[in-house]
Amino acid sequence: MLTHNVAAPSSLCPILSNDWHFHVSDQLIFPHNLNPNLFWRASRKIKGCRLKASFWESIRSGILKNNTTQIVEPPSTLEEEEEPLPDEFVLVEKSQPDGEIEQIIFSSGGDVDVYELQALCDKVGWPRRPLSKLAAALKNSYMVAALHSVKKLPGSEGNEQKRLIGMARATSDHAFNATIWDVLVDPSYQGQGLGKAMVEKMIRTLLQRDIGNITLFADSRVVEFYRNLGFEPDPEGIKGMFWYPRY
Amino acid sequence: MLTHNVAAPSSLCPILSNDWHFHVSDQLIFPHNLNPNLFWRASRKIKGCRLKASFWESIRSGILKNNTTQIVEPPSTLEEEEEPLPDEFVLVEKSQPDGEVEQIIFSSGGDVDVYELQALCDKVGWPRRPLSKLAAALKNSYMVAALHSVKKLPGSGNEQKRLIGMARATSDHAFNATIWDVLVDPSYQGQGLGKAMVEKMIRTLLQRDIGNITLFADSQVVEFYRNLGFEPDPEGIKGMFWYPRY
Repeated sequence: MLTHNVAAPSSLCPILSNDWHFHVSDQLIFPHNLNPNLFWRASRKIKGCRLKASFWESIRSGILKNNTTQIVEPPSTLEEEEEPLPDEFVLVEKSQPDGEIEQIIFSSGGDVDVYELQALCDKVGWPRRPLSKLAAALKNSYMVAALHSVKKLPGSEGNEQKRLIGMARATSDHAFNATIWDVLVDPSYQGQGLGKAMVEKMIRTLLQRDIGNITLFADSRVVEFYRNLGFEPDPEGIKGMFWYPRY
Repeated sequence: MLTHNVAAPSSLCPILSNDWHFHVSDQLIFPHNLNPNLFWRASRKIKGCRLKASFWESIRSGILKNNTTQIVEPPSTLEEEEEPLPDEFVLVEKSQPDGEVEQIIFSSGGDVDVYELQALCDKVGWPRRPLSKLAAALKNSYMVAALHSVKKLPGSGNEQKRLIGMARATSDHAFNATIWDVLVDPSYQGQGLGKAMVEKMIRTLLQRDIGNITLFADSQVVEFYRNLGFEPDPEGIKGMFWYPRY
């Protein structure tokens, strides 16, 4: 149901009141002025709240595994006003010695191929679900976020290999509540902060749409993962309950 | 967020496998052949599972507070095959000495007036929410269940209809559903109406093959939902909220 073992400390700054808008610049994930020697300056203006630098440190150290990796800025301009997040942008870009470039692209437009998704669910070891129901679930989710890996050789006439490597979706009443389901990242791409980035983006998008109550159900092994993203279990004794759960 | 203090024991029979269909007759809530002396026979065929009689006992004892109350059958025929639940039917009917008849009607068609809902939320003491958002939430819920009280004097043709309860569920239409905003007018609480409403929702969701039904319960109502078959933290799965506001 949920990603495994993506380790990262710290958490997002809390929202303090109902009317409080979570204004962020897209530099939240993409610090600019990145130098090859890994010096970077996170310059982000958040109305009333400053995200903890350690959060971004953790993303950075997870993503930047070698010198050829660059953090790429999303294709949008920065403004002081609330900035709608672009539907799709590059999270990470890596160059191989042979010149091949791999980009990890985040998208929230719901462009997930159900066959690819089925294969990904198999890969992480989830029980098989009927394809038609998977398709219905995607279609009827309020938001479907995806991570794709795009590999290309420069000068190869634009040949590129695009693969689904992560997904998360949320149901919602479009007004008050959202529940995040089915968070998964390809095991070959885990441990790099991608799952964290994906969920963090979802949260931000939901908040921008003024959906203030964001919930999920976490397996015991991933409770810490979500705690680090700002989630809290059983606040004030509120219990998540399941009708006759099947083990 | 959720109803208060509706006491009732027992629980629904568990679903045993993924392919298992929850076939019920509409007599689940409406035992037929009800005699004024309160003898009733619950005759229900459920494929592979028999609901516990004590559950219906508890509903009955909650609803039948005096001799003038009758349990009314829903307007549908009974078949051995899976029966789609009618969108709307009478849960309870009461007669006053002056001849006034009050019916409590359950509906799952989403016919909830947003102004009435706002008034009901005020009545149970919930914090105010913007009307436009309430309307959007109703519109974008997979299922909206309601309880209405309809009062009429025979021969007058006038009837007074009031919203007295509501519950809604979001869903991905395939695997998961989450129940939100369960509420019953305080004047009508303690009669098993909230239980009946949620039970109907569950049944409808199961009929639509949505196997994972979830909700978040305030600590004071965890028992209420346990009695309906819900379990907190199964296998250590925790419900989590993003920076909850107290």
